[in-house]
Amino acid sequence: MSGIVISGVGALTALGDATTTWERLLAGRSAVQRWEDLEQEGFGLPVAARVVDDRVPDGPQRGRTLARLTAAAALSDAGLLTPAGLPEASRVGVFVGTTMGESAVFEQPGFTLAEGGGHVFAEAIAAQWGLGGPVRTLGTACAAGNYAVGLAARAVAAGRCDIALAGGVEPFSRIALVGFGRMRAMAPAGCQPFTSQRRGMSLGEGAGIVVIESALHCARRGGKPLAVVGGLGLAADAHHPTAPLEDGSGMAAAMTAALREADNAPSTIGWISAHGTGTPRSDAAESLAIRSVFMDPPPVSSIKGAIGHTLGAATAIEAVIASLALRDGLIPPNVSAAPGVPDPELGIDVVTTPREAAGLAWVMSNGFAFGGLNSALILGRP
Amino acid sequence: MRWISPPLTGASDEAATWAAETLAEAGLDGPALYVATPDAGSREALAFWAVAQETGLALAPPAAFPWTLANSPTGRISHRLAITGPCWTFVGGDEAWDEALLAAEVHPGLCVRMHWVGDRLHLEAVGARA
Repeated sequence: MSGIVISGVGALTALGDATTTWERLLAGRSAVQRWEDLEQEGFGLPVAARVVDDRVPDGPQRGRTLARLTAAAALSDAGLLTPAGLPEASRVGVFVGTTMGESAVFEQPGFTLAEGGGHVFAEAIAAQWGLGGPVRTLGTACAAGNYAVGLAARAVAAGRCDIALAGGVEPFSRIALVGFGRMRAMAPAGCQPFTSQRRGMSLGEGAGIVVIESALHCARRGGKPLAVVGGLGLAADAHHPTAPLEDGSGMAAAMTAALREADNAPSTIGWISAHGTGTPRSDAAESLAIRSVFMDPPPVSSIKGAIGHTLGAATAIEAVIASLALRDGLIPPNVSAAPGVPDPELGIDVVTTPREAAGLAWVMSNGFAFGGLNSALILGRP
Repeated sequence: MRWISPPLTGASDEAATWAAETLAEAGLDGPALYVATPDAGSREALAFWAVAQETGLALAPPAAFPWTLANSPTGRISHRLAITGPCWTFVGGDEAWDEALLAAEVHPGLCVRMHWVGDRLHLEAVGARA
């Protein structure tokens, strides 16, 4: 996948837009909190990280609004939006991942299935600017953003489009809040990844979109690459509908596949942006996987204690954060929603404060989905 | 590589089980799986929420929740056939089918044979392109 770059990023999370989310992550802020409205609605554990933004309405347009706003931010960051619109729109594709789709549609009477399916986000972005390239939806749950970025990079490399908007969109889902709660996957005190105190995840919401193009195309139009797309590794556990393989071998296989596609040695990876949901089993399995792939494991941190688990948007937002980490030579800390200390039994180097990393050249971003579907995306400094 | 049709039955688990058993009975297995679906998880999400409203949120059936995700059939099939390679789930209409075929082609050296399971309409459509 040589010569494919990320030239613009956009995000909306419970911490704010991409820049604000990055700054607040570095400050160790967490947006996970209790919500009175959810408590009044009868949710037993009304703890989550939600987007608070006047531009993003509640209800059945919430996800589509997140999608359009985030895509606009990414295009603007890439210098592609002009007063006249988006040049070359006929050669721009859209690749978006999601887990629950436009969930509010399913939570209210009077809507059709077609209005809530996962495909509505990519279609909303394409319609906004009249994009003529491929419009695709990846339904790979919590790993969907990695799948979308990887597929978009391959589409650009294959000449199917000149520019691709790729990422993930996940509006707040009451269905997911009930579901994960009933599966006892939620942490009463909030998500505390890789800590001794970890008890589970916190639900988040948001969107992350990156602009992908060839390095040549980017240079020709005067753009500035933020990151290069190294490779996407995929592997399946073939084990259980929801639980990971306890030895982390499926996760390790995805990481190894990503290194192979990127043609990178493990020693080149300077930071692992972990899946790190804060569930005891998943964090333990991911730690084992990291230790099995890396003889000398690089620093590890998860942003899910800061913005919650944004499901289909998670790895897309993490791709945005990884791009900014490469740009600034900084590794963000592993944010815990409540006081906690890294679990020494995991045997990994959990970053607790922002770490200077001027030589940071490559980042691995992990994302693992229900069904045992594992992904790892490698991004590098241009 | 595998090619699986959109659900033929109303429920994703039934469709996934059917597809997995059809492939298993034929003695087929492989390193990767490509699933295209127009709406896996959507009906299940509606049903899950309806039950949660009826029983109260605290009594919603936890085992039903994973089926509200579009990739649950993919997980079920990969588990049944012990597929440990790349497993994709594309959501949408004909474009999802097209993308599944294209995605399979970008794994050089991985695709030795292609098998697909589908309804009559899609078998013809895919066959015409193959």
